[in-house]
Amino acid sequence: MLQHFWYLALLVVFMAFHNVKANEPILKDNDRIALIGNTFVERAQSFGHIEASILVSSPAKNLMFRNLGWSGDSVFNDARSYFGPPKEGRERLGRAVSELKPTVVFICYGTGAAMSINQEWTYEKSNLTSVIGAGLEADLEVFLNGYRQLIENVKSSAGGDLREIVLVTPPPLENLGAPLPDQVENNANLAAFSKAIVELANEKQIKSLDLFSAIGHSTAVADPPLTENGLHYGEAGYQMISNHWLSGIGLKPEAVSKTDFSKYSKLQNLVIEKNRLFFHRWRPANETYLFLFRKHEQGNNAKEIPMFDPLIEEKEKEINQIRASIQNPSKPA
Amino acid sequence: MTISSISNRLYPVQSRTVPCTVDQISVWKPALIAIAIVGGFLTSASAQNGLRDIPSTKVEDQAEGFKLPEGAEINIFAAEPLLKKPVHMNWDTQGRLWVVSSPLYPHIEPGQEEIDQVIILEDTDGDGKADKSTVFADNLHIPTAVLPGDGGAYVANSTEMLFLKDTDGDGKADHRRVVLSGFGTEDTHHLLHTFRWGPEGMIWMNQSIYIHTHLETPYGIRRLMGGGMWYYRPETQRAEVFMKGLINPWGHAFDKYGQSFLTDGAGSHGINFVFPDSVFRTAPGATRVVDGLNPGQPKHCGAEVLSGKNVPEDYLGTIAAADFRGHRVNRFKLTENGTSGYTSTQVEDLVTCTHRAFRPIDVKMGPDGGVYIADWYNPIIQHGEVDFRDERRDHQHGRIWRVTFPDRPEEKKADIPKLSEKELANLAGPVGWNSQMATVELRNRNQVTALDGIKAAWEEADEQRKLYLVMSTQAINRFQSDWAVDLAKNAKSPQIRAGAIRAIYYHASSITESREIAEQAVADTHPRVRLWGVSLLTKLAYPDTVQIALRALDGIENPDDFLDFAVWNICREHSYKWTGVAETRNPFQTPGQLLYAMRAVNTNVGSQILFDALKNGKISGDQEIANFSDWAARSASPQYLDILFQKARDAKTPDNQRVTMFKALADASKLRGAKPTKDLPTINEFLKSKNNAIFEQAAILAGQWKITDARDGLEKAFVGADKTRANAALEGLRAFGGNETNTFLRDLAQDKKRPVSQRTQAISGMTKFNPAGAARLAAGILPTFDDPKAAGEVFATFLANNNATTHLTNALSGKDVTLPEPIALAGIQKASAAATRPDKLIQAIQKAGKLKPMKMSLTPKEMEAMMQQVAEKGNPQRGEAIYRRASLQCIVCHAIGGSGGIIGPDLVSIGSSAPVDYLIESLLEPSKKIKEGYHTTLVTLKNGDTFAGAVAREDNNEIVIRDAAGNENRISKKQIKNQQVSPISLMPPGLTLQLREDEFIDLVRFLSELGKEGGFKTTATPYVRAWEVLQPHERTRDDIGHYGNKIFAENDPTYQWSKLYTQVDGKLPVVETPEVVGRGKNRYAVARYQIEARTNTEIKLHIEGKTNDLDLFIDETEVSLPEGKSSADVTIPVKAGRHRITLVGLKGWGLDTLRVEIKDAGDTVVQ
Repeated sequence: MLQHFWYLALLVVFMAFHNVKANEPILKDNDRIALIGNTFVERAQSFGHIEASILVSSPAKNLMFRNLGWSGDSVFNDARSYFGPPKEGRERLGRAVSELKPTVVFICYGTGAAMSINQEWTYEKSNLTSVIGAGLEADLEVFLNGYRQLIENVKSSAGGDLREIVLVTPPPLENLGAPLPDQVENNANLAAFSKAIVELANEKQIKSLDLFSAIGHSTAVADPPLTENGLHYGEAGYQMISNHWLSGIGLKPEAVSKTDFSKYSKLQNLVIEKNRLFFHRWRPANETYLFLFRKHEQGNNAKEIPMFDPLIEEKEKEINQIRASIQNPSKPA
Repeated sequence: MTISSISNRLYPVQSRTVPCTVDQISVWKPALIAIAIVGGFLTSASAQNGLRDIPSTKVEDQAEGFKLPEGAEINIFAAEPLLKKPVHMNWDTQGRLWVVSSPLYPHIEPGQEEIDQVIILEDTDGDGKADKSTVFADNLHIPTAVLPGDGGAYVANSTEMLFLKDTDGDGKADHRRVVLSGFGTEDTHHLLHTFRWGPEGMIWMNQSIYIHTHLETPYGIRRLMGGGMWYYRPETQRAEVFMKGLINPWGHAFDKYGQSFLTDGAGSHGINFVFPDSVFRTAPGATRVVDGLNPGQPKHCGAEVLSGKNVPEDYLGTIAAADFRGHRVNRFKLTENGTSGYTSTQVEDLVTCTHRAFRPIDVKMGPDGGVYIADWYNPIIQHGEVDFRDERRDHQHGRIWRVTFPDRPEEKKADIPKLSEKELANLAGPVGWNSQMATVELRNRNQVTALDGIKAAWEEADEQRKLYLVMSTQAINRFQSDWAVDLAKNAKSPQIRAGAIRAIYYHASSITESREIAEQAVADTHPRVRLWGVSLLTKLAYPDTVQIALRALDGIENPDDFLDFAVWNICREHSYKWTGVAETRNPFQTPGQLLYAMRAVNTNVGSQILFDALKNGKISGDQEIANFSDWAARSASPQYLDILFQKARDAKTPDNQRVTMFKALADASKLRGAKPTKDLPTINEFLKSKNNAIFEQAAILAGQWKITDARDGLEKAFVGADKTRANAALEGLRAFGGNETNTFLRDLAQDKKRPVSQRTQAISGMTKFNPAGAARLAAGILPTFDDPKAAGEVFATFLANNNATTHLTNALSGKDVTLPEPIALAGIQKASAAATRPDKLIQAIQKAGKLKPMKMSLTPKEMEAMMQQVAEKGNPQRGEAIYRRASLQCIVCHAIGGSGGIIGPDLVSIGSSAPVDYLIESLLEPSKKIKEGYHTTLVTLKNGDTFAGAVAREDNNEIVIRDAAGNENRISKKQIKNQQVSPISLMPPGLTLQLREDEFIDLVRFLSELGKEGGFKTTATPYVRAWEVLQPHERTRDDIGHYGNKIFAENDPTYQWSKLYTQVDGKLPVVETPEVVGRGKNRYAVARYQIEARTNTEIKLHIEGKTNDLDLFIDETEVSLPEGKSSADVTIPVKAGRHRITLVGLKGWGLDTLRVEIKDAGDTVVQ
């Protein structure tokens, strides 16, 4: 069924990538790639498709992916703030980015805000955000201002190796019908957000990857649905999205469909395991005791956290091995 | 080892290098003693084991430690290897027990896999023991809740809520779906927890204080910063926050009307009644909080309403809550008290255990009517306070115990999966295994047939059943709103009306009758129905919801805190509906209502209307004036302050109201620099007042407003005899500032003939406006002081402001400054406890005092030796007496079971929860481990002033910091430069320096016994624990001859009463009471407490104490006691209203202790 689905997905792909030309892959050898966003990005790490499909399709060697997604995050980085105001969330993101020194950064925001028009979707308190709740236009303006700030934060934190920032528009919502709420209006909001994100990329002279337009939001719903609740994509959804993602960065999805399924699954599982280890590394539980205001109690145990690094490196090695064996079948896995 | 080798680490023995024994050093120094002990008693490995209190892990050995009520039995239902480390449990409809198990807790180690489990336990042969254990999932990361249902199980898995399902029938989950993600993990004992199906078919779940959650839902973003409770409906995927706050809300039970009660693993308020939008302690940014029902009660994990035929009848409806610190399961009985809340009384424990590793963390009624208790099994339970990798942490064991009453009938387990929909409908409800499982099962059935079944049941249902049927229609997501509307309007029982409104609440805006119901509810005879009416209104869009809500307070003289909170809350939440109107007219019916609403939101929008009301006497009662003044202090603009000032000066204004108004004017000036625009010098008139309170406020105002003519009067008052006036005058002078004040205070401080207290006050006054001058002065004067206490006060004055601290540091760093040792020590003690960490000042004091750095911490070896001493030689009785010493101040800040101060954590079960090394460390280095919820917030103002303490409350404009002395400091947020959580404890270091070695060991031993089985466990017996004791008074010697002992029971306003708490065992040591003079050489102990009777009623007391030496009074009427007994039972009729119960004891003739047990409180509450 999965195989069948891949071809289906390929059929619906159409090019809506404003800056990225399909024939110019943006990834290069040894790229360190950061993925930044909210629930959509965070959950991508436990499906592994976006990374695995790029690894299979890209000629670039030794790619390293780090998922910095955080559920429920906003462009002001509310969800990363822990005990403080969103400013502390921005600082936390800045620190993570500066440790990673990425060469390529994908950023995807918009779903949370577009679905929360007329609600308080951020705790950021400034003149900028005082108009929240005044309707789509006002919220979108706040969102874009926050997004500009976010891009600057990433730029200033990433260091000299940063080559590309790619703004990814959020995937559309599925209208699954009662008892789930109607998402027609939210999708219209999301369309406006996506259009504005692409324009923002143009304004900033950076690349964009318009998932929203690429997937499209017709009223028809896939059977079975691609999302759990109209909002959050599942296995098949991320599979489909990874194809669009490949096209968006100048790679050919065919490479994935040609890959031996068991090898692909093995690669995908390694990616997921690597992501899980990295999660404990960059977003450990018990932060209060390890790094924050109770560190005088358990701060000595913070020494364990960098001990995840060699474990992650080990997984990266395995990932590169299996990738090599996929791309060059003569090499043993 | 010789003393000399370690003495260089200590104060002040730097010069004592001659070998000496410990006994020769009169002032005890911890590190010194510890090393000396090590020299004598090096411990063996086996002794360490005993020391560290690791009990036998055998099930039989643990079982021997249980104590149960009569007729009860306990047996092991499951133990390792069937399961280990149970965190939470719930039943499925087949009668299988699902348990989440976390050996990984508290933190995954690098290289460890995510191996935590969901286990299903089954008792297939019905013998009360699990004989089958299935691993349903084994790839989890610190799972903290499990809830079977909907064909699988919901599991809290750190940042995510998962749904796990077995799709191929092999008993193992093969399908894993993330239901919600974005839960915080800042602390793994705070993670998402306490899943429970509500009677309305929603999943209820809680999070703790450090967790910050951000969920993306199909309805938008939902965030919860800090503790609180969520509800979630799987069908619609709607997740909403129900209430906020509490530290560890680890238990949630629904009563038979569907009301929610939470327990708290660290909050010590016993049972908490929660309702929509209610906010409890520790909610970030809370302006106002509601209290729990049992302040000072133990802390709990889990909550379950006891039910079924097997438990004794008087247990039915009581809430069982596991006191994991005290190794016991407590019970609480809820009763109606005529308010919107409840009275919760602790009753006899369900089970207690002497085994140190018994850690009950969940309680659930089982299918057989037994009470099942999950035992986390661990000698160590601390999360932050004991190292994650401490070897004493158990990762291998875990037990489920089962309590039954064999002589009572068995509960019949319904075969839930086989029941018809109508049968399920007739069973479903919030309390009891069968009822709860029927609700869950209805969700598995076809919605159409399920609804048919429920409808068939409705035809035959009584009122109570009808409420459950309404909930059942919600459980299948087919809400029959017309049924709910009918019940809300017409049910005879107020509890059912309230329950029906709760059902409507979740659908409020989509039900047309909501408004009508709310209007009826706010006028209901029962305050709880009113409370729910107000809650319903918060969900409605009508423009006049606040007007309707305010009616809920009509006809209630003193609204209870829950109802008042709800009304206050809607005034704020819906402020956009009425504040615009208030600019031109009163949107409400009375000025009092407008005042109420304006205070709730801190606005000045309706000032004109309120001040008109003040002028023409429509706001006039004492309470109204107090409320009005409080509002005016925070919000009124200067031209309105003119009106307030005028009213305050008005000859017709009563003195007490005048004081209130003056104080408001002073607060307005201090908080936000606002003052009246004219006639300010008229304040001088009031400096002549004979009334101290008026003088006090006038003096402060004169200084605040800088009224030059007032200076003379203030200076005279400052050097005058009256302390109250002197203090007020100083505050006025400080506010004045300037050269003249400077000269006056400087001269005074240098005048050696002045009392030392006056001189320190003078320096303190100067620090405010001339910190550099004050510092030079202090550096000159401090060396001449011989009173360390007074010196400490001088240091404290400088420490309260960053600039002043810097100036003092500079001044003390001068070459020729030398401080006497005791003075320097006093300075070090104050500076070490300061949240600002003034390291440079500490160095300067050390240098000036020629002190060497102090080492307060013990090496592991020293600690071992100290622990052994505590175990072998510590005497807890003596320790308690030391604990109670006024000079140690323990009791000022800490309560034991609610008796004592509230600054620090309640120590009721510290001994059974904290290892001895933790206790020793906390006494020596209070800042090393700080209990959650007790962290100090350090606020630095733009002018350099610093305030450290707990955030008592805050709003947009103001924050209130409660400091270590219990003072509440109101601070305008505009003046704040910086606010941070300080790593410094409010508990000053060095408090125990005054103790001898043996005393310190006794004190630790006492603390280590608290909460353990034995004499130092606070029992549920309702003793009078907080007494007021009479201070010596001049009239008693002469008047006793005329009136007898009755004079002690009089309500003489010149009597001074101070608080005295009982010992843990409820006894009041007579020796600790002040000696009140009687006839001749007779000396008396006079202790009283006060009660409030709601109706004419009767109380029954059991009094322990030598009756020949005792007299008992209710108000001024003597209640006769039998002669020659050691205890007495008395019954006292009381009329509605407030009363004093006074005991007069003759000292010195064998009356050692007094204890009063309230056998029956009747319709009274202790005040």
